[in-house]
Amino acid sequence: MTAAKMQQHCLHFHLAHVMRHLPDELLEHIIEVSDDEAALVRLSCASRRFRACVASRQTHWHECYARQFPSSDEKELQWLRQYQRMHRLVKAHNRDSTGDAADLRQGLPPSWFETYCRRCAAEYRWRHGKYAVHQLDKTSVTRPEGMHIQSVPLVRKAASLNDALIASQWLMEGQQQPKWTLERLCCDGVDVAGMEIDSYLCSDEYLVAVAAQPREDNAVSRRCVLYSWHFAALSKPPRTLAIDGWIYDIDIHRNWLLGQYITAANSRQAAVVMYDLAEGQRYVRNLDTWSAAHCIQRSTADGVFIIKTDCFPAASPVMVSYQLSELTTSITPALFRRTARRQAMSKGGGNIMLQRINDDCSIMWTYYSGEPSPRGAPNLALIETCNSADSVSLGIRWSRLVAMWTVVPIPSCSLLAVDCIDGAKMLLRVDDGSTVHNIAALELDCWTYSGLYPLEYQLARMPKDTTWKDPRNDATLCLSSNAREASSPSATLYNGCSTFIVIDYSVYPRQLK
Amino acid sequence: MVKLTSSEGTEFDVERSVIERSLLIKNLLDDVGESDTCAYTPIPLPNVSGPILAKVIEYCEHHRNDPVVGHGDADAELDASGARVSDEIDEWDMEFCKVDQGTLFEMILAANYLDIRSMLDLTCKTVANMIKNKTPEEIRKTFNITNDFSPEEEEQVQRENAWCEDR
Repeated sequence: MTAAKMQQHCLHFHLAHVMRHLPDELLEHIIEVSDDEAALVRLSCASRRFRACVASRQTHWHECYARQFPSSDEKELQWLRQYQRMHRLVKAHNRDSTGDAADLRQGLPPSWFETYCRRCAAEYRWRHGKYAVHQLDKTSVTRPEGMHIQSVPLVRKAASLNDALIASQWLMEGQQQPKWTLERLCCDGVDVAGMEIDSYLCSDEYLVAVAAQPREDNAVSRRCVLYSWHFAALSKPPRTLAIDGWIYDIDIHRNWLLGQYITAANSRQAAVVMYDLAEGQRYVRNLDTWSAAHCIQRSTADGVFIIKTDCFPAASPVMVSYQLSELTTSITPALFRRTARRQAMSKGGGNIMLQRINDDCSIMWTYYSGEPSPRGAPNLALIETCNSADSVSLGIRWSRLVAMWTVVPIPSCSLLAVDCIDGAKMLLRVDDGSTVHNIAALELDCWTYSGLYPLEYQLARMPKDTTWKDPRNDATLCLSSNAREASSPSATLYNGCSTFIVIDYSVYPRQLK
Repeated sequence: MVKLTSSEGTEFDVERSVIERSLLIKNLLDDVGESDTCAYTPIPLPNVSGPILAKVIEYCEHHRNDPVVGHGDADAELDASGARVSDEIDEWDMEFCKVDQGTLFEMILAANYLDIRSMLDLTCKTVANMIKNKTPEEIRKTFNITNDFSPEEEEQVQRENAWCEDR
């Protein structure tokens, strides 16, 4: 051995000795001063000791998670709930099979480090086409026994309720890994003969379908029935929420369902109906006037805050009145006006739409194809609610005129994705409505399907020509181009001809020793 | 002046106001009081070698006029949104930390032992920066870390953390 090599060998030996004897508190301090979460995760992959040290900082990882994947984003919340459910069930089940834990059904909460890594991995797996394929057989539709993890409904409009199929993921008795299966909606005890599905909505736990008689010629509206199922109990008959009426503008948030209800087709007298899907309760409150649009702004333990708009007929610009109301089960009367404001809006031919972004913000917008003028009335406005100790108020934070078809909120990134009239996509900041020039690859369908977006630095550095591995391009799957699809944050269900395929992007929990 | 003795017995004379950046030594001197004895009685530092003690003194001399950072000031490193502020390392500090890794880790141990918070933060931040943009294998090589995962665990860890490749 040469002197130089001997010196290097000694240095490495010395360094290995120092590293081995570096106290945990100093290793933790190195981790504490790091501002790069991805680097810490890579450090955790170096050895068991480093992994334990990095993972032990629960508060840090919880804060990182909450900051980067806020639960005010419904898709993020849905992913988190699914992950926690699966984690608890699989780990409890695995412990159960080894018989070394007392309270098995509760399981242990996953560490925030693990949850953070799994969430980042979920988006990565979607984008890079890392998935497991589950072929489901339509002829073996089952009523599963076990513990429910998630469901992906593939409900076709104008189809019979009896034909609706839902792909569900269950942890079956005696199995160590979750299994996908097809389920039908149980319609026992309800008369659905001749009824077709007019529309449907889902929350994390509930499926609500509006069923109606087939539309007669030239009929613009029809009487309908509203049914709800809990995804974990699709084999049980539905709750019938409303019968024999006209229901419009249905919105769902958590366990609350909201709709406008009239008993006669030509009536201008409307009621707002709020359903507590968990309790099966219905609350009806009369409205002074028919509202143009409404959405649930925020759910509370005993009700919802809603934003509704009324348009005053006029040539563009149209005067839009918007107001925040609270509907509760405990206050009488349950509907009371909180505050109302007005905003002039350009009307490019479409209706004024309302869309929730998060608990504090909604957007009011309309299609606009004209040439944006600096002095023109806006067609996109952000309505912000402000909470103080004893009141809630609302106002317009910003507004602008954009030639656009539609807009989709991306709450986790505090962005709005705008489909412009010229075919381009534009990103706007939720904070101030300013244009973000880095639009990188926001057109990736995987993000639209899953609702999961990459970390901010990943998005910023992503090349503009980034594509995703769309399963439709996987020749081995033989998915026809007209296959229908529906997604959850961790899986997509495809149906072409009589084939049902679930593409599952999850990595299942396994415990490192 | 204060006399310090390293682990090999090398003696260092240093101004009291300089070395008082070390809370360990400051508390020691405060306990002894204003007597001449401290000038002539060397303070033994059996956990710190001569070359490392020289680096510590160099650091304390350069930062003699900086405000002393205490352990309770960690929250100041977070911004309003709760995100950690990336505290830039200034040019002198960066040059100061350009040493071999063995020395750097010994500086961490010394800063911790002598309770010099700002030097501990600086040296730890330097190590943290060395981890950036490295793969787990490169981190192992850099810091001579033994991979003690089983092959199955290694495969699982790599599979679950492949998202870190997007950097």
